Amino acid sequence: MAIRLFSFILVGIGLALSADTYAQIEGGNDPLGDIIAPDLERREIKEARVDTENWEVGAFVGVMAIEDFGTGAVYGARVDYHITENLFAEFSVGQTEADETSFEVLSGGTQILTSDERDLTYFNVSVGYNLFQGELFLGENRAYNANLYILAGVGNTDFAGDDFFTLSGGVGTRLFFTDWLSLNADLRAYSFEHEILGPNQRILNWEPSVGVTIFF
Amino acid sequence: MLPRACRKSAAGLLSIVVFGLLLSFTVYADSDFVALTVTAPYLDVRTGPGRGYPITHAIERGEVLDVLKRRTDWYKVRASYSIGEKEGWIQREALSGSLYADGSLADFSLPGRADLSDDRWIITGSGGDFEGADSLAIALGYRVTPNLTLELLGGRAVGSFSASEYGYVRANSQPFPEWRVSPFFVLGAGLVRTSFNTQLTQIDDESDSAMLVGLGIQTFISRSFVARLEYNQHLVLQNDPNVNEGIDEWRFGFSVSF
Repeated sequence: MAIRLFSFILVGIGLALSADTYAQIEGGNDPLGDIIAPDLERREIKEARVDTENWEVGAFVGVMAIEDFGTGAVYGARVDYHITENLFAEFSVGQTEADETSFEVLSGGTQILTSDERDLTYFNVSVGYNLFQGELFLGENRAYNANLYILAGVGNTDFAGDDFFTLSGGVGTRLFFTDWLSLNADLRAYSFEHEILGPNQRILNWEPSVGVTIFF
Repeated sequence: MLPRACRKSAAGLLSIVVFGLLLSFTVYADSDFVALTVTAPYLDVRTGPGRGYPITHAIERGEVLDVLKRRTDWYKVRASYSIGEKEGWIQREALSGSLYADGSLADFSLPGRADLSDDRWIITGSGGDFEGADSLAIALGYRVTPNLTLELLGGRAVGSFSASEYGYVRANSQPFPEWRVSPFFVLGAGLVRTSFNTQLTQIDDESDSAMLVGLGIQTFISRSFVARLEYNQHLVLQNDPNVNEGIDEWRFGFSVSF
């Protein structure tokens, strides 16, 4: 309890300290301020007028092979923020439905999961890196900008009535029709540990998908 | 976090909203563009916003450009000639030294860390250890002053026997934002909900109010991209039994400000 009390006090001091620092900036700690008035006009920052386009949003459809539970159609959405020309961060969500296991099919009627429990929903936070940038040529006269990226992330999968901490990774490509519209193709893998079939096992679910994104 | 059924429909809803966004697109208002006169001997113009895209054009000293838009450190420009228009992307540093229409110098140098206080919103994603369980948290922050950020944080921790979801309102204080590696302190209040593995136990879910203290360090990896390491101590105020439970959590993650 003493440690907890100590940490509360420490954080309290931290908060007080920050308020103090801000007050100093506000006060303008310059002793020459009143004597030598700067003769410069403050220039209007015109660069700020330029529209930035660092966000990318899109939707995708694909299939997800859920280990032991067949393959189902998956659909989802993604939001990316481009930090540098190479680095971006992504939040994505997706949803699919698991099929029956081989055991369920062969045993004729035994159900391991209820219909509701077969729904699989996931979300992921990833960091991506654009590896290759360049132009792709369609025929002789048409060229499109394209890039290839890799992604790694963590997230959560909601399946069989429980939540599973999920690692994800993948590779994808963007084909730009215009600066702000791109066609994406991704191959991603999601891995988590579960005990649905008895022993604890780590599974790997593969998901190829295609999607469209816009930059804004 | 949201209940399961609700989260499922949220995923569907998000997809619909995104499709809706795809249908709408922006139209430029011509008068809004910033015009620049090139002073460098020449500027390379590429097809896309990256060093890997091919150079298709060069702009000479004295030519006038319209700056159309910006993506990361690249600017899309348009040059008008008698034979038509050329559009392409130029790197930020290359444009430095160009002149605005009124003859003043354009400053396209990289903003320092101090300029980042212009960024008001911060999104953080992080993962770590919540007393043995794998935890994951997403936070949306709003910078009230350079030193103080208010955050909404939602997280979940999944262990072998139970899963916890938590939501907090947090005050994040950074006494020295200008430091390369900058410490921060956190105070928060919120809710912690724990549900137990349906395969192993039949214990009911429980929901308790909680307080949180934390401290951590953060450092800039690139402009508007920050790595942070944080230690949180959750104090869960349990109703039944009426004792307080302390939970230690370590998290590592990245923040994006905009």
